[in-house]
Amino acid sequence: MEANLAYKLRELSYLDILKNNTELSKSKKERDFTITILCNITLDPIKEILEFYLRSFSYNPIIKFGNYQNIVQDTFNIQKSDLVIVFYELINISENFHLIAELMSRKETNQVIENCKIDIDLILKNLRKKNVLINVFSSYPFTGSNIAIRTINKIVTILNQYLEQKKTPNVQLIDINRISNFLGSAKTYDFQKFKLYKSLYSIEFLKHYVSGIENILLRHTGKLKKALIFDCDNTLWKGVAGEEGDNITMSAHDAIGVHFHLVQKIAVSLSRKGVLIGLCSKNNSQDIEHIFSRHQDVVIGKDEIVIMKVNWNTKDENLRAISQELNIGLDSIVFVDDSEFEIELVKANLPEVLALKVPNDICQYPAMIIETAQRYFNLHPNKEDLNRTKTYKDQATRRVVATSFTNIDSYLKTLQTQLIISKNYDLHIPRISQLMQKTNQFNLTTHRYSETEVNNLINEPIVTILSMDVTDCFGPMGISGVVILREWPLLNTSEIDSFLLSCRVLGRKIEVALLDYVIKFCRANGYQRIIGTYIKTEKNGMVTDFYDRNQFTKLTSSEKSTTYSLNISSYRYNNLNFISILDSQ
Amino acid sequence: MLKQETSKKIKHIMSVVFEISHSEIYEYSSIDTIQNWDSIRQLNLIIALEEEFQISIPDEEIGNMVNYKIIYHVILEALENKIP
Repeated sequence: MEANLAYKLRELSYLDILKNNTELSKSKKERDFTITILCNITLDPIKEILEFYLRSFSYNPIIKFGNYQNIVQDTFNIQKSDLVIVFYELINISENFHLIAELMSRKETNQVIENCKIDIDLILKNLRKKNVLINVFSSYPFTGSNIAIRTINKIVTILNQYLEQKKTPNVQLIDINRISNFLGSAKTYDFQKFKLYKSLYSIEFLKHYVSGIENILLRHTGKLKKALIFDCDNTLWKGVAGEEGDNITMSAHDAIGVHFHLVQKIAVSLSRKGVLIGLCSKNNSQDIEHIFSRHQDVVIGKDEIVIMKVNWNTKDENLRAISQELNIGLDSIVFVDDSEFEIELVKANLPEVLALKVPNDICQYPAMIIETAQRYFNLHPNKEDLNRTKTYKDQATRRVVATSFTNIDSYLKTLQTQLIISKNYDLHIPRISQLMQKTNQFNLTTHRYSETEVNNLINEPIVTILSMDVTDCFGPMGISGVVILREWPLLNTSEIDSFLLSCRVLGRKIEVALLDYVIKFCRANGYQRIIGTYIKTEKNGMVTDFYDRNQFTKLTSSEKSTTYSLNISSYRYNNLNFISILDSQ
Repeated sequence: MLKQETSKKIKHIMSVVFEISHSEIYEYSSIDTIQNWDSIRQLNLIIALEEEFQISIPDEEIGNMVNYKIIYHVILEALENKIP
């Protein structure tokens, strides 16, 4: 239920959050995620909420607070963090500032502004290498409904303009006023706790804040969703295909149909942003085919639908199949259905899938889908992400082709796979780091290097980073493999620090061709020996015996890792005739 | 709400906040006897009590809430003063 629990974050009571957080902390999570919070107010309750949230996505959260009222000082000496969040609250820049702000002279006001600007400059400068969230300044906590122009508004406006103007690309501004607008002042702030503990924000606000930055957290943890799968009847249109015949409605001009029309339109634009759209419904497939090819009001085209599971199998079976065929995790799937029964079935059997029921009040349906998209999908995709939809579809075609061959090699031959290898190519750094963060299955060491780390490695003379582009008869699949080599010249040895392939290129012996290439490369550089390590994780079982299968011999072995060695001169090359390899220029 | 229910609910909340079992909480359980009871959990306790009972605990009482017995009486009083 974890994915579905986090979805309901804003509806959970604080006690529920505490309870679930304790419960989730009992199981060991695979990866750490460190957030440092710099603030000039007390924010301790946000810790439990963030921890609960990250744990529900299988992360081990490490939430650190800077020293109280020491935002700027702390930025000089910040520890390793995946994310830094800054709560710089004007209300607490000096004792009772919220009461005296309106009494300040012009000179005093300007002095406050100048001091804050200096702070902003230092914060931005010192945190320029971190991923940072800074809340915009807000005049909300300054009480009163007098609409006359106030000193505080002037300060807030000038400082926000300054922030906007000075912020560097690693900084994202968070508009907390949207939450205050939504909740109203009375529910946003807890002035009693502010007086007693300097704890300004209500739990209500903090829950909204964490769900508000959810997309950013998921982006940094690589846990954004990839696929949006719809049931058909009463989910993509009003009515039941096959039964009511032409009574199916999804017209923009119909009072009910318009909501389904909008949902389809949203699905189409999400598909353009790289979200994989699919169907999972219990119908006769001819009925559904008929609607998609003939119905005058249908908006989603066949082009947008990457996968269709229209049959009488159970929904959990079908979703499992979808996850396998698209080669994505169950936790990358959002499923929408109008039936309470199906939703509960999926929640019970596939707790990783986020299962959403079409709201009873159909007017809220499009808004729910938009909100889900904003929370869970990547709405600012790069070129690679955009190619993905095409790649997944090509993959489906590839699979169809595969069934008509009995010998796998002769099938692979028809694919005309081509590998293009680049060496230490700095334009590939973002994608290399992305692959290092995301690749779980075909990954021998699972080192998770950030962009900065990859950048540092590329500049080390003894390190070579190979990035591999793959193309076949269906088109380009983008950069989908990385090998990092570290040289030990005195030992005449080259070490494979990382060796990984994206799931989308598995099953076509690319790894064998790539290993051939790596060995040729080391030999050309005068090395006699290659050392490689397999580090076991929960997900990389498929490569446990990769080195064993490829002529390496075991050197040392422990429960968690095994180190192998290969004498280059005795290596027998595979020289696969169905894969060609080029060096990029 | 019956006094017995209130007592049960307070113990439940305390057990979640301090991560201990109900049976470990008795009349004189306090900051001194419960190891996990620090200032951050004190804040968590106040927030959870206010949210679960839908009450607002007066400022002057918050500092006094250092053992189960006092908490129980403060909550009872706050519930009585609650405008229906």
